[in-house]
Amino acid sequence: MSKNTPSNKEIMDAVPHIRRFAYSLTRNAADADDLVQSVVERILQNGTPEDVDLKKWMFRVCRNRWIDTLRASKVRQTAEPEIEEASAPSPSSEDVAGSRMMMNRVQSAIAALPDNYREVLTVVAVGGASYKEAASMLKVPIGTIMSRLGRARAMVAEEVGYHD
Amino acid sequence: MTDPQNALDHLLNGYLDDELNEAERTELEAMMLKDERIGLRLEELAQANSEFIESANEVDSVPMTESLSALMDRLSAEESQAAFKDETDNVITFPIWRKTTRFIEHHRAIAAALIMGVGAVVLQPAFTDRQSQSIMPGTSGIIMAQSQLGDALETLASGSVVEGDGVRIEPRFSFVASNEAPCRVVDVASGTEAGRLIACRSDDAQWRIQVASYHQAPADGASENYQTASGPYHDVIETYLDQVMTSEPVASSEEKSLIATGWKQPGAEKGN
Repeated sequence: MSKNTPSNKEIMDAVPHIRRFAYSLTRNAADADDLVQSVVERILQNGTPEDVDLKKWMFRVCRNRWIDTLRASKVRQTAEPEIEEASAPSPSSEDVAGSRMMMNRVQSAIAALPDNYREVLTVVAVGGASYKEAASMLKVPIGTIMSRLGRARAMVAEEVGYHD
Repeated sequence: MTDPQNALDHLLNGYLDDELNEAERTELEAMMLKDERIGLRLEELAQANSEFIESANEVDSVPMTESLSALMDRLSAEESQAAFKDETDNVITFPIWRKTTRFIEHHRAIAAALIMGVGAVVLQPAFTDRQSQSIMPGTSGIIMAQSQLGDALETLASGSVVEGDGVRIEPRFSFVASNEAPCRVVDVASGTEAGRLIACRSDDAQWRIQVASYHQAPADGASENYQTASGPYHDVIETYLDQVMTSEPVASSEEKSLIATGWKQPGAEKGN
């Protein structure tokens, strides 16, 4: 298989996207950065196959590394996801407090998603993959992608209760 | 969730993800018009999706780990060098500081001139434009023998300066490259640009630029702030020197002799 060597600029441009992708999977900024670093080092060392979109390839590598990490720690289904709160300024008002409560509910809902649901949602919603691409990346049928995606969004919607 | 609800969610998710064909899309939109609960469900799923994406974006406000940050810095520095190299076919980068340090030990007189030059090099514009006929090489890197730069390379001792037509030329030092060719490191400057180059003299008595770089001088003309001894650009020439400069720069007396003999090196005739 012939290889392509992306430029440093291409890699750097992709990193913010890969970082969000990694964070979406891990729910932990430090773990996400470790993941991103291993992805970048892998690309620097091995390049990419020719004719692949660098970002999508990095998503794929990132997801595979994440799975490896989960397997190694044997915590995939049982881990208690950690959500780091963004260090945003917090002006005091009832509205802000209400928004914060909503944000916490969203975070809890996302954290409560099973890994394989969150994985599909990450690949499609954050990674921008089509169902076909997601099926290829995750090595599952398209029907499984649709099913997990539907369940993931439904779970978040139900947990948050937008129309309650 | 009931099966019909599940089937509807599949459709709605496909709608959100742009996975429906035109007919499916039209049918779903018609359903939404008839039943507002479908529209509300789409809104819920869209909001959940949006919240999920936003939650991923939260990491943007979290500083990178030191390790990842260092890796990005490294890539950025390498990129700067590469970009500069790409942009400067006819350009030159430089500082010789490693080589110069050794040079200073052996050639203090020239070193003094060199050190004084650093930080004070500010050039007049037209280094690459107005003066291009006289100082810039063609695509082959050949410098015209009758040009100002050609004359300076051939006859001007290192540490000396020649100025004319808004251009300042100062050979820094000379050395013999690994292929035995005499080479010179030269600063060239105009009002708005400053450059450094390495030119080597080939067997056909022509000077060819091997590597070069230039910088825009500060717009405010603050010449004393112009830094030639730092920054990524310098690595280009330094790297070149590392590759071809296998011995010390020639001593000033030796250089004087080379200039006097038209850069014929002792033993060259015998050897050939």
